[in-house]
Amino acid sequence: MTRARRPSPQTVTVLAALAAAPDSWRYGYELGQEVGLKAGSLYPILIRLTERGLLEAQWEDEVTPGRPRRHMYRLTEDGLTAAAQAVEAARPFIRPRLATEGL
Amino acid sequence: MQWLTAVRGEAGLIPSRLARWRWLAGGAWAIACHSTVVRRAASVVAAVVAGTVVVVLAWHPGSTNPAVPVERAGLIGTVVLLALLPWVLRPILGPVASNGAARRTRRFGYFGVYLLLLVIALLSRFAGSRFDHFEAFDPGAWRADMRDGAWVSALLLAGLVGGYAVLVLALTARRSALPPRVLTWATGLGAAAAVVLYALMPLGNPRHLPSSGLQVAYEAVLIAVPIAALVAVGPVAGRRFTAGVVGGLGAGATAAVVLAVLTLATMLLFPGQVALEWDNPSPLVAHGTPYEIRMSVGDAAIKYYLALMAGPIAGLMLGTVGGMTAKIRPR
Repeated sequence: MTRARRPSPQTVTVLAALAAAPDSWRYGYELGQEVGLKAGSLYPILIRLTERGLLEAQWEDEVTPGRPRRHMYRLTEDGLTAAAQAVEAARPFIRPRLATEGL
Repeated sequence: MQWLTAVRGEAGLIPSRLARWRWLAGGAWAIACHSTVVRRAASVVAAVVAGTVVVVLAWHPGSTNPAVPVERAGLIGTVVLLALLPWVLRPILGPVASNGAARRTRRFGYFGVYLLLLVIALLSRFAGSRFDHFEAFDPGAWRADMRDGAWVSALLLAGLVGGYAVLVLALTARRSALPPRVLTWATGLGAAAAVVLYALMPLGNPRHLPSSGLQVAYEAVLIAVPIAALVAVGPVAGRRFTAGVVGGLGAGATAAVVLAVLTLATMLLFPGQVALEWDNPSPLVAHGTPYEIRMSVGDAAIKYYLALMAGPIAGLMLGTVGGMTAKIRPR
């Protein structure tokens, strides 16, 4: 009876943005700016992707006085596969958005 | 905790103070909502607040009626039962199913159960207030009778309301949830049928229309609407036999709760408009006294208590009929 849930359009956009540069570590705020999501929408997506093993996260090495270290994110191998599938499945629905991102 | 630190780490780089605060607030709220500990704490707080509101509103101070302390104890017991049931059943049924329909149904369903308890308690207080300062011929026997009756009522109330809470939890739990589509249609059809019945009979008694033709049509609609809604669940929602059976159960329960909450609340708001089912036979006594109104409201409400017991059973039976007539969808 249970079906795999289709990721939300916001999740697909985040996956697409991360998959566009799979080797790069990305920061939360910068990623949010790129995909047009605020912290309230972005962090639940990042948490879920991490819990499902699709996203790996690590703390930056550099320590800046006056603020905590930043978290960096990158898709895992499973995440890259999931991103490709999600983007493909969502292409008919969010084609204009993906097209502007060159995907 | 690491996610909160991550939000703070990013916030330090946002130049505008307002944008920084919005980032921090939005991130913290989202992480709190995602946290199991916070969600469980919120559900405990919600149960305590809802239970306290129900008990305080139905407290009924200043009455010498011996049934009142028993009703109060029964109400507190029912409120505690409602608060404990999700925790007691969680190891058996599992957590809420991971789909929006189940989460919404559980949230609104449990809220509906609290509303049901509230209107029943308020109506009981209203109807029972005719005995607030009652002088019986045999006070000892009367007090014993009132107390015994109140215990039976309290047990029935706990069983009824607790049963609905168990149903809400079971129909939305991971191990026993209905498929989202069936759940949505079942609750939607049940609620729609209840709203139609409420519109036709808002004060608990059928209307008397001037023409016999209209009266027949009115009564036909009163009977046909709930039957059609409950039979339709299977064919509309799942086109499977089980969707009809369990969906019918959900639809019947939804219809009974929504109808009882709407009608009992309307009767409480406009008690003087409820038809007098009981009045003093003496021609020398004016009708419409508070005693008569309270008794009539209590009498009119009884059929909704019966509907609360019969609704899920009728839903199960009619849903079975609907399931049998459904065109089975190939797997």
